[in-house]
Amino acid sequence: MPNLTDPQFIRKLEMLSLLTRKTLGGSLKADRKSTKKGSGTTFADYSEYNFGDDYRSIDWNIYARLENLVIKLFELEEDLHVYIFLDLSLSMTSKLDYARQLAAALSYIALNNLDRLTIYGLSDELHTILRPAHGRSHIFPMLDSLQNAKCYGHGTRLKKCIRSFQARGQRRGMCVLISDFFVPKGLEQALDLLLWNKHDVFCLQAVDPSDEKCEWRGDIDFQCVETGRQKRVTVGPAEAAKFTEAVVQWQEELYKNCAKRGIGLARASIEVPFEEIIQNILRKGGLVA
Amino acid sequence: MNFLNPYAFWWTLLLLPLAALYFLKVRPERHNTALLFLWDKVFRERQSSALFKRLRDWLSLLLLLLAFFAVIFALAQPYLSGSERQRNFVLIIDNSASMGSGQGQDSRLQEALDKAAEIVNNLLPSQRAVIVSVAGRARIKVGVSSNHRELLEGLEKIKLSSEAFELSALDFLKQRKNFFKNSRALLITDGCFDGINKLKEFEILKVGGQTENAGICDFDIVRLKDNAHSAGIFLRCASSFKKKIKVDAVLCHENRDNIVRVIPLEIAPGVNSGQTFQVENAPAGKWILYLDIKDALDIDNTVYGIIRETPPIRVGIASDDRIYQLAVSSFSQDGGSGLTELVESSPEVAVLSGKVAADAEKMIIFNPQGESVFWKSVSNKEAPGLVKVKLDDHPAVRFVNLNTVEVDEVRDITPPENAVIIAETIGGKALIYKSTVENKTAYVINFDPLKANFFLNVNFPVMLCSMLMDLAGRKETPPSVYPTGTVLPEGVLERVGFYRFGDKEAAAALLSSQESLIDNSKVKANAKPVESGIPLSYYLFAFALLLAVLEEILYNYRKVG
Repeated sequence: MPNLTDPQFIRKLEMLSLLTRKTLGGSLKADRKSTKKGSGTTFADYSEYNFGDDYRSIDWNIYARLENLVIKLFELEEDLHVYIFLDLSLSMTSKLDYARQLAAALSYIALNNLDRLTIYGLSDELHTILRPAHGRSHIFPMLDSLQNAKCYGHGTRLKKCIRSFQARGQRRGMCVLISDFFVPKGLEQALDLLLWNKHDVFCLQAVDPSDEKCEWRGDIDFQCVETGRQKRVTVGPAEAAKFTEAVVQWQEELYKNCAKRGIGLARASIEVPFEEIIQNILRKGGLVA
Repeated sequence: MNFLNPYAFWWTLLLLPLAALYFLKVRPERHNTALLFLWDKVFRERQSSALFKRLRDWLSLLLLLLAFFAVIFALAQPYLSGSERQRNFVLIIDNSASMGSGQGQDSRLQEALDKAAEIVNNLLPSQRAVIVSVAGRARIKVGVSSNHRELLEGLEKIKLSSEAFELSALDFLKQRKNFFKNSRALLITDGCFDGINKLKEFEILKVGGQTENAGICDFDIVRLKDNAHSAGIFLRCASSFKKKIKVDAVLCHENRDNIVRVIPLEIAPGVNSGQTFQVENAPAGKWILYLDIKDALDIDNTVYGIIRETPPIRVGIASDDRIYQLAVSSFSQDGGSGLTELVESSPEVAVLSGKVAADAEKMIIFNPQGESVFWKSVSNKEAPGLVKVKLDDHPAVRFVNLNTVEVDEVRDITPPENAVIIAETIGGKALIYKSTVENKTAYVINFDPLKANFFLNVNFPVMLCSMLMDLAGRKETPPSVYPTGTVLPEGVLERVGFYRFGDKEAAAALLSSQESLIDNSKVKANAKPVESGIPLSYYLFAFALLLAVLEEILYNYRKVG
């Protein structure tokens, strides 16, 4: 298992954070510019004074020259709420290390940019891995928390988890779902719930190529890693081909669901180094500007 | 149904572990998957074959058990009641001269070997056989064996013999018929010998058919005593031709190129009566007589013989009694046999009465008197006595019967220490003995043949001649020709022709009317058919193999889908 607090790993994360350019609304002044005009320090524009505006923003020099009350508008510097949902169901066992590295990278970028970061674990119920944190000082606690995150539960109940997330009254922000998305049902409802709450949603699919094809032949007693349910089947070349076809169909379905909702989706194969994913795949997926 | 090897059923004890192993083998591999819901989708369309899938393990086990049972049955070697397939064989192949009739691959011997090879090839692994060839003698070619190759190699070793079939040769086998129990003794023969119907212990498998042949079944050639330059020939032929045939008999000396005489013969069917011929100016040596005919068997068309020249024993008689001259003359040329010749001087053997000849090295002394190197003391007291022979096989008395013969003028005599006492009186007085003293050898006969009329007894000349031949070193004149298969002290006469053993010569020929007649039309085969074909156990093995293949296909289907 890779150590997430390893200096070399952290150097990789530092390099990735330099690439991050994204502006989103927030309530705290952070390093990045907001599209809103407000009480920042950088001048943006003038606006006619209206009743109720802050006296402190009236440009008295203009008033002296033109006898019009105008107020100075500044670029509002806000922080970003980043919610990372890490799938910790048992189906992620083979991909957990990789998913943790991805989550660590994104979390590092968020904390380094002074965004407000919260990390949740997804399975049959929602677990908080990292409580809302802000600032670089939370980088190591964040890495420790991810390091200690283990798979749990019996099945992936995505919808239930998102409802639980909503019930906590979270502010709108960016929701990144890191999962294999091997969810028989409830995925679409979960995505809809997030979008309904005005979150920016991005899906990062961790893929183990061995999951997508079947090398076994003959009588096989399959057991679901999450529910423990068993199924005895005979797998021949025809069945194996049908399975591969079903996996492809499943992937296409996922892609369509995301595309239909304007959700970015990126595939992250565990055979590809995670930093490449962050640099290339996430860039193409639109998460990073 | 019976079983040759019922102990094979103990293998059924392996059924339980086999079934356990089977279920271990077919137990499906267990694999974890996160995509079971996709597998559900894949297999939702294949519910129709679910029943077969549930039962196929049991079906497969059933096939496997059936295959196993088939193998056990095969190992138990089943056979139907009344079948001969469980019995072993003693294969006796007649390789006598008559089996050579026909040519090469068509000969009776080849037919017999082919039949034997067919039997060997059809032997089951559990069956064993013995290969024996028989002609003048029986020869075991391969001992008890179930190895087909070894048995076939044994058959290949059987070659045509020049000997006539000897029924007595089978006595050897009768004594050893229990090579193993439960065996069939098959004699594969053309039946050209007497007494075939007496062979109750053997099943006869006849080879060869009726064919025409003529041959010489008896032959002799000797020097005629009344004419030192002529020879007499005795000849008897046998024929299986249906009609009387005319054949030239060609007589040759030393080799076939030196034709001495051509004798026209008329040979009637069957064994002909003997014929004699006289040949003038016939020197001693090798003689060949052959019939100028092409028939089924060549070996009996030619005979070989030797005319032997033996010089007479030169005998000197130092006695006035004529009984000794009469006795010696009866074996002289005038007497007809030419064994002895009376001479005045330099005799080989001297016949004496009462004393020892000073100049003779070999002598026969009757009625000893006085002192001599051949007796130490002799009394003057004479008495009659009854003869008691101590050495019946001694050359001097081998052809006479002297026991209880009364002789007279027997004296108390002390023979030399090295004397061989051949006969004595009932009272123990030495009567006839042989002794060698100072390079002189003598027979001493301690009685007077003139007394008690012993000289009138036919034993007298015979005994005297036997002593003369023994002292002169003459053996009996051997026959001019021996039948093949004769065992001489110097060796066995296995083939026809001439032999030389050191300075001795011999000739051998087939000389068998049964072999020459070659007609076996009256011989009836009584061998039961030899079962052949693929045994039941082989079918069971094949069935087991088929079942195993079926099971393997099922298993393979489960392994690869």
